[in-house]
Amino acid sequence: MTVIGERVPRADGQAKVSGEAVYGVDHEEPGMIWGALLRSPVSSGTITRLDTAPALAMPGVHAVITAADAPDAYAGWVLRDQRLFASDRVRYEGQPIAAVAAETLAQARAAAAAIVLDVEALPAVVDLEQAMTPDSPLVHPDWESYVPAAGPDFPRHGNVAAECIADPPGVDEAFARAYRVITDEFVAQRQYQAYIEPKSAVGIFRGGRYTVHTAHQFPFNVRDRVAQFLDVRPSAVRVVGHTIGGGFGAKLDAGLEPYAALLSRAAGGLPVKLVNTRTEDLLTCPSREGAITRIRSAVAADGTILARELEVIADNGACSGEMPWLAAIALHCARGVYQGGPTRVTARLVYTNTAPTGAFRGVNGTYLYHAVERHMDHIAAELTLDRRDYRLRLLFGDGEELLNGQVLHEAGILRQGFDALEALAPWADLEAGRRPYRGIGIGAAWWLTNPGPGSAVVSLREDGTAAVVTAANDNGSGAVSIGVTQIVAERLGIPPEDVFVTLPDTDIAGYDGGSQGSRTTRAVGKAALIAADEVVEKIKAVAAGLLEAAPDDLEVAEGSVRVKGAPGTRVPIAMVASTALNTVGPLQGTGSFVTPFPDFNPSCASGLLFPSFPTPTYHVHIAEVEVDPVTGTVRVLRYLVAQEVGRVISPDGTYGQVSGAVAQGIGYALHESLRIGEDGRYRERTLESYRLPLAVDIPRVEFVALEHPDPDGPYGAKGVAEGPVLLPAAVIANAVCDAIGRPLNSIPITPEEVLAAIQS
Amino acid sequence: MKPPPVKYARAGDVAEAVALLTEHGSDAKVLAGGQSLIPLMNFRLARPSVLIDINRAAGLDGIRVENGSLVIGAMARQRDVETSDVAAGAVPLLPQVLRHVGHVTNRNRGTVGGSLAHADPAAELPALVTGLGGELLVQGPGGSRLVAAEDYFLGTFTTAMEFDEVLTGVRLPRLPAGTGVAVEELARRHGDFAIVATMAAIHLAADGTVDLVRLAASGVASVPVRLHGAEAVLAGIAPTAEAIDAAAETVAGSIKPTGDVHAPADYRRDMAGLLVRRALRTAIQRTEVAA
Repeated sequence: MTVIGERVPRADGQAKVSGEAVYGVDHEEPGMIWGALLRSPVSSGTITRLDTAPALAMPGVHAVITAADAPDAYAGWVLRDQRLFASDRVRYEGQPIAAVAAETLAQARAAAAAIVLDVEALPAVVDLEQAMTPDSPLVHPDWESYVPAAGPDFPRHGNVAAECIADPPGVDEAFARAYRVITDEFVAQRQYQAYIEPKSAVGIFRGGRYTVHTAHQFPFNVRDRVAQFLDVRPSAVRVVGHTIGGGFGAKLDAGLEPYAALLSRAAGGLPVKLVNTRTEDLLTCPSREGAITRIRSAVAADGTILARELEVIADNGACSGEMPWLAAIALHCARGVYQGGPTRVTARLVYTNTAPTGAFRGVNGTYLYHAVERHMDHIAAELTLDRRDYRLRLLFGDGEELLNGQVLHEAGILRQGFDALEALAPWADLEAGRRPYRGIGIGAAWWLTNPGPGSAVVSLREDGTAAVVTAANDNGSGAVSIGVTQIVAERLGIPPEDVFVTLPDTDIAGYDGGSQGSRTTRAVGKAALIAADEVVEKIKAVAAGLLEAAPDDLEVAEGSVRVKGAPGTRVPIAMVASTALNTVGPLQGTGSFVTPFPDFNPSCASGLLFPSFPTPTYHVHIAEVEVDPVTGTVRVLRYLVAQEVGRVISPDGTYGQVSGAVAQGIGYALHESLRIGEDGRYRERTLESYRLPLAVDIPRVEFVALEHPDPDGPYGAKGVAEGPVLLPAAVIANAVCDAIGRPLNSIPITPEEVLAAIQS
Repeated sequence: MKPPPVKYARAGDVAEAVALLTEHGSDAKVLAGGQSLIPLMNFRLARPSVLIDINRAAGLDGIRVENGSLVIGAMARQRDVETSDVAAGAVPLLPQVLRHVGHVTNRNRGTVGGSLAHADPAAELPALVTGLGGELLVQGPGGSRLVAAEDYFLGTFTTAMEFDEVLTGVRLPRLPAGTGVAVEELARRHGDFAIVATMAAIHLAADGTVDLVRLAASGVASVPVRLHGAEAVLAGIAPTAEAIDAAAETVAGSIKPTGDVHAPADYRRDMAGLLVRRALRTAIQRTEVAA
């Protein structure tokens, strides 16, 4: 029996479609009361009056807390630049200023509204370029006093929250002798993760410890953040995970959890629940950052890239979250997947008086690949080269050495991706099928599988089923409910429906690095596989006595332990598990796993916080679009993906992730945008005006899985879910520009901009 | 979201509704189908103190032809009008326009009068009534009056009705047999409010020249707009491609679109001209010269 690569129903599917699943936002505790936050109505200002007395006098109110009631602590994932509540300065619209706990949600919201707040507005720092000028107001005048959450400090100054610079020799010389210098500037917008379930948390202060219930992608990170904000050691915080209604990176850092925890303490230990309204959620979500990317390439007459300069200015918002760690990704993507000469990279992360940005599927990569692949088309057009041939000529091969010294041993897989799509949709046919206002775009990428540590305990139950205890979270992708479940079932030779995986609980399971960067199937699957290996060894040892055979002659399969070559001689593993209770004790195994960072050259750049990309995967995308020349609307006619996946564990899970990521990428390319006004406030404030793509906007994705089993992954698995969001903006922009014969270098590509470009 | 607390009163007839409005003053709102008012209350964009429900007021849901006009009671459900042979026979543009109003579930509940009293400048029905030169029947403490559509819509969500008046119906001139009609709408998806919608009704004389033309647009100003300039271009001449282009070119000058999160003003202006051209072409194709 093998279930790897088979279509297996997901363990949580029935509960989710029937409505039985209890999501975090539905969680209730006995005696629970409700909280509400008072948030800053402006982007920048000084609090001149804050009077909570009217709120305390409101019916049903248990507690009102402000900065004065919170520890004098700074918190942050990478840099400790956040306070729980604004005390004197407010730095973004939606920043919490006070919190209320009351009997009912309505009472809590009414009391929060009754707090008297006067804010004297100050000019908002919004423009990224102006923020870096010496005369710009500082978002954090005290930036020098901030310290990293761990490790040494990193390059940062004034409104620049992080900086990664690589300046290899030879760049200027190459530009001086270039046949042509091609220059582009690209602008990318903010994108809201727009999950169905808004953020929520239930906090309980009991027995001197904080317990937080939350539907979260990274419970251990919540634990650490709550501990920082509340100035206690991490073990004083327990985080209990619940079924999650989508996250896409926005639920990797703490949101409402520290407020719920502190409110419970202020309310005498009663459980306190906080739930964002959709507008609160949208306004304060750590959205994908807006960015300006500039690229200059020195090219030879044949298109050889002699040298390149790439500059990225990314919007950090008012606090840092995970972002400083990610600035170095510019270095890893600066050449895309194409060979080139020395490359100067400058990546800066800039504070503004806007909601803090953060992780969103394909962090930084979406706009970097958009820029690099648009630029490749630009070079090809200038030199009248075929866009596909040009890419193939410069394509990375096996053993490619990158700007950071990392070596890609299997980058030749990229060429297989181009070949696979060529078989599905020959480029010559696509070119021949072109007509006015129809265009094609092509692009390629490489990406990592997040290396973060994970662990699992596998217990064999007396009825022959297995329990898996892990703090890994299934953020909806199926990484746990399909991936880990199938891997354990395969190893123990039992049906997937006999494998039960716990929800995360930081008091129960070992550390887990969160559902991010496509890591869960691979890293937690591997930890669970190691644990299951141990269980199998123990099963064999016990069964050896029952079957009077040597353990090495036994195999575990189809719910039994049997003698190899004599399949009639067998004992059910349920009997083995029961027997073990009275002989060696319960059968249990543990597994831990972490991927080391690939070797790199530490002197290649300053501010190299994310030094190299572990467990690379390779991606090639093609889009065919049609532009309505009168309304300017773009329709995606075909979308093709060839993706290296290590090994397919679940075909449905794999295709679902690819299809979903392409949908999110099409939204990013053509529809979605959080626009920021000069006052630093978002213009889109509800899901009515925030333009998510609709079912009719998304074609069925044509997908080829390229299998190259990873020797370190469970059954060869690598990350799948994140990579396919990297390229839609790039290839759709290339296709639209091909269709209209004019460059469009901002995303999203709106109908009005297409129309203006056509008419220009 | 839930609406804020509100008092509720039910009116048995129009006179009672007028009396209740008089009693409660301008903080009261008439509740018809509730397809706009209730969401606005849920979003706290409207906070009436009293709702005066006229859903059970008698005699407001008629659809009939009277003296050459189609008369529709204010409480006629949009779906009933959409599927009414009487309405389609008199004003064939109506069912076509109504298909763009929300979704069937909205139209089952939503009323013609509700949409006209709400006066959203992006809505389709106000544009239709304006374009066809309709009249609104309004009843207040002093009796009834008839208001021409172009005098009735004063601004976004604002009409010529006084606070103590109730809209009881609308009167639309019957279109002659053989009139070609068309609706063109640009919306993010079917059923959304229009970014821009245009509608055309056109009738040709036996010699092929235009003897009746009605053009309107929504989403292009603070009120629905009848496109008199474009109508004037076409009146009395043959509707050639050049004439259609000339008519469409006048559109930009007769509208005042504003930009919002859905589309910038310039894009709306461009689209209005385009959609007028398309609506005219389709309407002309659909004309039939009487035998």
